[in-house]
Amino acid sequence: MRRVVVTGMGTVSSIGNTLDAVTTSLRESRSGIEFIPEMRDLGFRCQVGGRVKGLDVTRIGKRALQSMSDVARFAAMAAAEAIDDAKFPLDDLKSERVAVVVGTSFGGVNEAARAERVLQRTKNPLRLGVTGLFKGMHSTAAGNLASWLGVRGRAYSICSSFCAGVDAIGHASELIARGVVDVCLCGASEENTLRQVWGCLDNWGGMPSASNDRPERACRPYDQDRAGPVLSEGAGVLLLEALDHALAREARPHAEIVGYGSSNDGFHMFEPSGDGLRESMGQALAAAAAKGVRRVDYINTHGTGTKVHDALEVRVIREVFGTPSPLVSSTKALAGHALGATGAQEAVYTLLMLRHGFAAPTVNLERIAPDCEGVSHVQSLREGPLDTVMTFNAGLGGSNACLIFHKI
Amino acid sequence: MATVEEKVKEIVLEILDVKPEDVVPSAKFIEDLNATSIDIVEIVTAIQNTFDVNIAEEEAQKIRTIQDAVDYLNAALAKKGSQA
Repeated sequence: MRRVVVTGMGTVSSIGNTLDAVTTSLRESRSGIEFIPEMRDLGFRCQVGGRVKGLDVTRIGKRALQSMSDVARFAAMAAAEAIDDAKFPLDDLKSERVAVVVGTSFGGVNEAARAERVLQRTKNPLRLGVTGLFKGMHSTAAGNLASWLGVRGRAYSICSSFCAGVDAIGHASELIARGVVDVCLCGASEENTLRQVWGCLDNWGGMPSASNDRPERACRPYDQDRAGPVLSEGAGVLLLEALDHALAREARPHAEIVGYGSSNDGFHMFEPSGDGLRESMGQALAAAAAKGVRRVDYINTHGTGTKVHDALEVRVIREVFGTPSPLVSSTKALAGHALGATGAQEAVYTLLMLRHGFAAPTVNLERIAPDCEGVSHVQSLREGPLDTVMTFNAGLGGSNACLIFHKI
Repeated sequence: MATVEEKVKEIVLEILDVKPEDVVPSAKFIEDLNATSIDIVEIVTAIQNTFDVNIAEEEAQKIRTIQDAVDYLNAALAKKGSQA
C-alpha cells in the first residue's frame, strides 16, 4: 500500500476564502458568524449563521460557471486554491490517474427549489431551461470539477451527512494507497441551505436564539450555556498524491494521511451512541500506529454546541485517549457548522494549524460544562509546533469518521 | 427605461462569453457568438422568465440571430398584451 500525502489545500468558508485569511481568522479568533436578516424575515428564532463573503469566481470562466450553482462554485474555488498551493501543473490533471471525490449533504438544493417554484407558477416546463440538471444533481461538484479540469479518473460524490468531507478524503486516500489513481482532489461542499434545511434544525435540537444581537457569541461548544449549532456553508478541498508521485515532481508534502476510520452507530438517525465514534477513532489510531505514529497532539472535534453530542464526544475522547488528552478544540464556534462541507473545511483548518504550529481555541468556551470536563480544552490560542493532528465528525444517520495527519 | 433589444442584449451578455460590440442584431448565435445548443436554450429560457412570456418550442428552434430573438419576443409580448 502506497503512502498518501497532502500537497495542497483550499477552502471557501465564513472565516475566509484563502488559506491566509483563514489562518488569520483561526489565530485571531475572528468570527465568521453574522446576523442574517432573511432568517428574521422568515420567522426563525435563531437569526445568525455563517455566510461565504466576497467570493470572486471569475477564474472559473463563464462556460464552466454555466452548469454550476454555489455548491460547485465553492468546490471549484477551493480546488483551484489547492492546485495552486500544491504547485500542481494543470495539464497533469488531464489524466486517468487523477480522481475527483467531492462530497455534499444536500447538493444543488436551491436550484431544485427555484425550478419547482417556476414550474408551479408557469405550468410550463419550457421555462426551466436545461442547466438546472447539472446545478441540482448531487454529483454537481464532482462532475463540474472533472469537466472543468479535464480529470479522467474516477469522479463522484460521497455523502455521509456531516462526515462527507472526512469520508471523501478518506476514500480518496484509499484509492491512492491501493494504486487505483495517483492524485485526487477530494473534499466536500455545501451551498446555503437556509430555506430548505436550517428550519428543521431550528426545530429539532434548537439553534441558539438568545444571541441574535451578538452573533459571534452564539455557538458555544462544551460551554455550560451551549444552545445548539450555528449553521454555515462553503467547501474544503485537499490535493492528495501518492508520496512517490509527489517526490518525483519535487513537491513538498504538507502532511501524510496516516489514519482514516469510518463507522456507523447502527443505532438511530440522529441520537448518537458513541460506538461509531469510538470505533472510527480506533480504526484511525490503529492505522497510524501501524505506521509508527502513536501520539496525537491536537484534535479538531465535531463540537457543534449541542447538549448531548458535545458531552458524548468528550466522554469518547477520554475513553480512547485517557488523561491527559491531546489538545482539543472545536472551530465551529468560529466558523459555524457547514453541514456536509464541515469535515473538509475542518481538515483544512487542522492542516493549517499543523503547518503553522498553533492550536486554535474553542471560542466562547468560558465555563466548561461539568459533562464536558476531563479533556485538555484549548480556551485561548496555543502557539507551538504540532506533529500529529486528528479531525473527526459525526453526522445524521449515525455516521462517524476520523482522519489523522502527520507532519512529513 | 431599457428597450426590449437592450434587455435581450443584457441577457445574452450574461450567458455568453462575448463582448458587447459582438452582440449586434445580425449576429448568429452559433456561427458568430459561439453559442452551444444549451446556451440557446438558456437564453430563450431567460428571455421567457424575464419578460414573463411563453415562446413555443417550435418557434424557439427557429431563433438563429439576435434579431430573431427580439422578433419572437416582440410577437410574444404583443400576444400577451392582446390577451390581457
